[in-house]
Amino acid sequence: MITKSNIKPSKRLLKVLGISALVGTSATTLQAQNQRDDIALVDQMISAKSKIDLTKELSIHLRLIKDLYSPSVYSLQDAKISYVSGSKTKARQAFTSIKPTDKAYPEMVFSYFQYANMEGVNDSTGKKEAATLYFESNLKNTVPAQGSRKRDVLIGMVEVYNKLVKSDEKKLAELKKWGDANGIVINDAPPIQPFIDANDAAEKIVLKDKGVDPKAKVNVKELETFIAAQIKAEWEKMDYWFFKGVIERARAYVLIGQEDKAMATIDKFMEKFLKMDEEVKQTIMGDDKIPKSDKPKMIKAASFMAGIYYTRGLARLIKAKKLNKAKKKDEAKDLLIGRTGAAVQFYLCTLKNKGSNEAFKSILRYGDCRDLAKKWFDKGLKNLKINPMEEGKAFYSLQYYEKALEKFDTFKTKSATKEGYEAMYLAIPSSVKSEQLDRADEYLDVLRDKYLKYNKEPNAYYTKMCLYMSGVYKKKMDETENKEEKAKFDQIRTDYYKRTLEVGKGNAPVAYSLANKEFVLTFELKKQGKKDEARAQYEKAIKTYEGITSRYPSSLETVKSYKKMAQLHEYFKDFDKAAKNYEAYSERLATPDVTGRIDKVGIMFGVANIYFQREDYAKTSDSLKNIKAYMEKEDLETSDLKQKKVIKTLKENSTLLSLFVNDKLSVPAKKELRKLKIELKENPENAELSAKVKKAEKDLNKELKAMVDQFKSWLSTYNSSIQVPNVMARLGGLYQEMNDSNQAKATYEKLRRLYPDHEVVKQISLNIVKVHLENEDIESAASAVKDAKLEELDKDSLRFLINAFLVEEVPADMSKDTLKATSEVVLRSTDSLLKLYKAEKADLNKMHWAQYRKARALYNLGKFDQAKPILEKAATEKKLGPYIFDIRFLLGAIASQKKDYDQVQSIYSKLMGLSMRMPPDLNRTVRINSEWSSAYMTADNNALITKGRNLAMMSKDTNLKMLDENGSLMVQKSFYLFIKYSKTLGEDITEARKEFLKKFPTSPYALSVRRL
Amino acid sequence: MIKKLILITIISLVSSLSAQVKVYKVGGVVLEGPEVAYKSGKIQLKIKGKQGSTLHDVTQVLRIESPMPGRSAGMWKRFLGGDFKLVGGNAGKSEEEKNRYLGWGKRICFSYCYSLLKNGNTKDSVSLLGRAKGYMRGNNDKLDNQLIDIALAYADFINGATPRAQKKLDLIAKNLEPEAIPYFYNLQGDIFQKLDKGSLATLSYYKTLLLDGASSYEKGYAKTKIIEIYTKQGDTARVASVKKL
Repeated sequence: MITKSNIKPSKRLLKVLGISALVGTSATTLQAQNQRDDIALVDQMISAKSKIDLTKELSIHLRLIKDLYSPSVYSLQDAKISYVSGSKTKARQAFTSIKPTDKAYPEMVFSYFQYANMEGVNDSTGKKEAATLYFESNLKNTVPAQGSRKRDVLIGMVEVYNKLVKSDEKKLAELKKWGDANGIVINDAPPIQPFIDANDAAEKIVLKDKGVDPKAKVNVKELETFIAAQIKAEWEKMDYWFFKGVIERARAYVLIGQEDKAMATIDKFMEKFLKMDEEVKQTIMGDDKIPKSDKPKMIKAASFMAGIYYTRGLARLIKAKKLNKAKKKDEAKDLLIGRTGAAVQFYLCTLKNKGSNEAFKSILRYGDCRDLAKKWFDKGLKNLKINPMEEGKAFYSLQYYEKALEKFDTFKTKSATKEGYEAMYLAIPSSVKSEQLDRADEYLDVLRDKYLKYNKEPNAYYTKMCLYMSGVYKKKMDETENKEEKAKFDQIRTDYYKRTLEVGKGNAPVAYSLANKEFVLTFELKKQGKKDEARAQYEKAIKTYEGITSRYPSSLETVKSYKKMAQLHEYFKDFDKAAKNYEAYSERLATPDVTGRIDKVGIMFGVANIYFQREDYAKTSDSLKNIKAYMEKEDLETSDLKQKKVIKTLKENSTLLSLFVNDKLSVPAKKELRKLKIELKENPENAELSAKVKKAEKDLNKELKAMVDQFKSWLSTYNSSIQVPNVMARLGGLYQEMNDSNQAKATYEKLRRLYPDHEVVKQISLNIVKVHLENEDIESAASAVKDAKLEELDKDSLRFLINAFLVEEVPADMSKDTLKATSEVVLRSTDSLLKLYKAEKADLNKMHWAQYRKARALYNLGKFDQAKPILEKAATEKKLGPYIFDIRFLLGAIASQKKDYDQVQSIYSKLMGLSMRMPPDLNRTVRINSEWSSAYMTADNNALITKGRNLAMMSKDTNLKMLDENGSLMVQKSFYLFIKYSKTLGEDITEARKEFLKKFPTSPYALSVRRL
Repeated sequence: MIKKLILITIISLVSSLSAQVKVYKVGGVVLEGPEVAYKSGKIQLKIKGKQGSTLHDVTQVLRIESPMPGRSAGMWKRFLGGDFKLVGGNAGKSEEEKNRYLGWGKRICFSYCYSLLKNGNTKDSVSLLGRAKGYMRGNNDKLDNQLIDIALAYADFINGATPRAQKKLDLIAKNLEPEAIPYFYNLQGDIFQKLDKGSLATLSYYKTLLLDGASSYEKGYAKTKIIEIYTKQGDTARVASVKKL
């Protein structure tokens, strides 16, 4: 149908071109290559990460690697980058995607471990996997040379694998054998570890520690077996581990209630313990690898005295409990808090053997002693000479998270210190592990509010912990089956993720990934038909992407954000913004290789295409010039066949688009000439005007000739293009415009001969009509139809004519003659179409489609009596057909023309009722109000005019974002009617008119409003 | 006698003091000695632990392995530090002439010619480099030849024959010796920069800057170029970061 704004050619062709041009695949590049250096550069860039952010360079380099080397080399580098970017799972997958048969497999195993073990990554799963890959494959037969990087990595793998297989005798034996064969020392796991574990478990039961089943009983038999084995070992080997075993033996005696035996055991070996301590001391002192400052601490921690103090303390504590139970208060008191009592032993252990496992445990047991002293004797104990941080850490390492949290919490209100910073950091996992999840936020807030300004990397712990909490809730989300809970946890995890953006420089990848989440959600909502929610989400996503581009302008995420924004804007039909973002994306898009460059041309072409669709031909032309300049400047040579095809299509389409743009750019000159000719017709004697017309004709002809040459040149260059028929048809049209009927005829004949089945051939007779329509010369187009034999046209052609010439809303500047001419075309076309429909016995919907349009043409021609029965018949035949609203609106308009306002009232109130029975649709409601209101345009009764004004008022302020294009047009119409009726009622319309023109400057009703 | 003394004096001027010199002759013979010298088409190798020396026709010697002579080593150090004025001057020229048949000739020639190029003298440099591959082979002939190729490519680049320069680099790229890395990648960076491929140029310069083995001058050069590119891109934050590298 014709409105002022929609007389435009079909864009289908160019849309197709645009899509095909954006296809891109991989290709090679001619850059000099050296795999060793390219791989080494990745490692070096990663290791320089703390000094400079080379994310962008790494990304470009990775693309180069992808083009230059085998997929495994790419996977290897991608895995490394993923590790340092924090994507552990992705890294592991990329590493393990390399198969054992691949040449890069050995390097993969070593790199995998090296990166998993890297500071800041420390991925224990990855380390275990890499070590297993080495030791459980033939790789273990290739041992790297001393002093090499791989050798250092291997030593790390040995340590990890050793721990991993400690309980698998067979694998452990194999590892030892391998170590012996290759001169690598395999550290034995402490042989007494099972004994230590059994004692620890028993101790918890005896002392009724938190979390232990109160009914649990010590496995005495097990401990006795360990004791017997340990005694037996006295005859075999008396080394460090044997003496450690003696301590465990003593502890086991304590735990099975034989305290005296325990003390006797310790006494028996006391001298040897001291001697052994001295030897350990000498060994540590003589080891150059241990830093001097660490040596005293190590000696204290390794001393046998730690175990002795602890076991003594334990024996006295348990005995004191027994005595107290037996009401022997004094003896119990002596054993608990006497000069050599349990509390003193634990106190000494924490003081003299700091760093040992026993010292950690002593902190806990000293706490027990303190509780009992208070409870039994109302006595307090002096504080341990350690700070709450050490206590907290001790509890944390012993997994007493609640107690650890208590200690860390003391730093919350203290002034900022390095220890306090660490305490807040550790308080968060302590909260989680002690199931006090809600407390984590307190510590996160302290980290953010108190410690940001004190640290070089202020967001380090804060960011880490936000991500940690996000991970905690991700786990919870994955674990729950409940949908509501799932959504709740997802929200919380996202919120934690977002918090990382609050501080310091933030984190571009995190922001980008959040924005992407919103991006995906937007499309999902739109697909589900939730328009309002989708639009809200779209705006939110755009805001987040814009945040990235302004906050991290040089990041790779910024480049990617522009593309995402462009896609969103395109989807929501904000083509100007889409084009701008595509432009920004292509400007910033790194083009390291031919694939990248071809992609870039594709994007640039997309931009040109958008501008073309927006009918901004100047910008389209600029974009095409940019493409041309870029294609000339850049090397787009490739041996890849797919890429070759893409670049060929791009060249072909951009030159074609260029032709159409030039064609469109000539329209103003054609319009100007038409205007001048009309003026000359009115003033045939005006010599100046006549000269002007001649000059304009000459200029236009020159322009058209140039265009003909361009079209011909394109046809000879791209003679195998699928667009040839369309271009030939347009060329024929150009000849017709130039009144060169011979050339036009020759072109059409050639077209018929070469492409007999093509769509354009069927419509050759309408070609000149199309040409005039494209030139926005509706009068000439209508006149050209007169020469066409409509009865010979097929259904598609007839439908094309009906759509092109139907006038539903008469534009303010359309003359009566034009309306008559267009309506006659519609009338003739619908008659021909209805004949065809009748002949093929088409369904009612098709018939009504044509009949409604025929009635509209009759209405426009003032033949209301002929239109009415057609419409009434259609309305009765199918009361709820797809065109029922159109039909009834037109009946309303006829009633209005006949000033039958009762009929108007009846028609529209019935329509309103019908609408209310249907699913709600704001577009429909607005249209009913608007059409109903317009029915009173013919009224001269103030009551009716007021009614029309009120109906218009109901729709004029509807939120445009909730409406489609037609709905929006109806709002404009309502606004116009409101102003018109207001004026008729004698009201001041200055403000309303101003508001309309400000709100809808390019509206088809703008001219009518101005005329009011 | 006097003649003999003069001969010894001359020889000592061009001799190379070495704890271990190996002369590889045609036919697989390998001779060892503490010192080697060149005179009138003959290679003179001192006999280990004895007074005398043996003379060998230069056409019969395939390769000489030896530590770099003291003066040449000093010159090389100045070259690595970017003192192209000195190395590309008379001192460098004399060093180049003396070493042509003593195993280090190609390397010294590279340092001299590369300095000439840096000083803007492509003509002399190209003519000398064209001959250098015929000099006596030394400790690492592959590296020496690659350095000469890089210098020739550099000359092409200066003369505006960029595709030819790139072709020369492409030929040696795959098997590049580690010591040739800085010269190779700095030139590759220059080529990319000339072709307005800033991102690729940056990557090349980073290879010089981050991979082991580059001299202080070449590293400095690479850093300056990266800064130049970032500045052009308006990326001030990273300009500051690169300066710290």
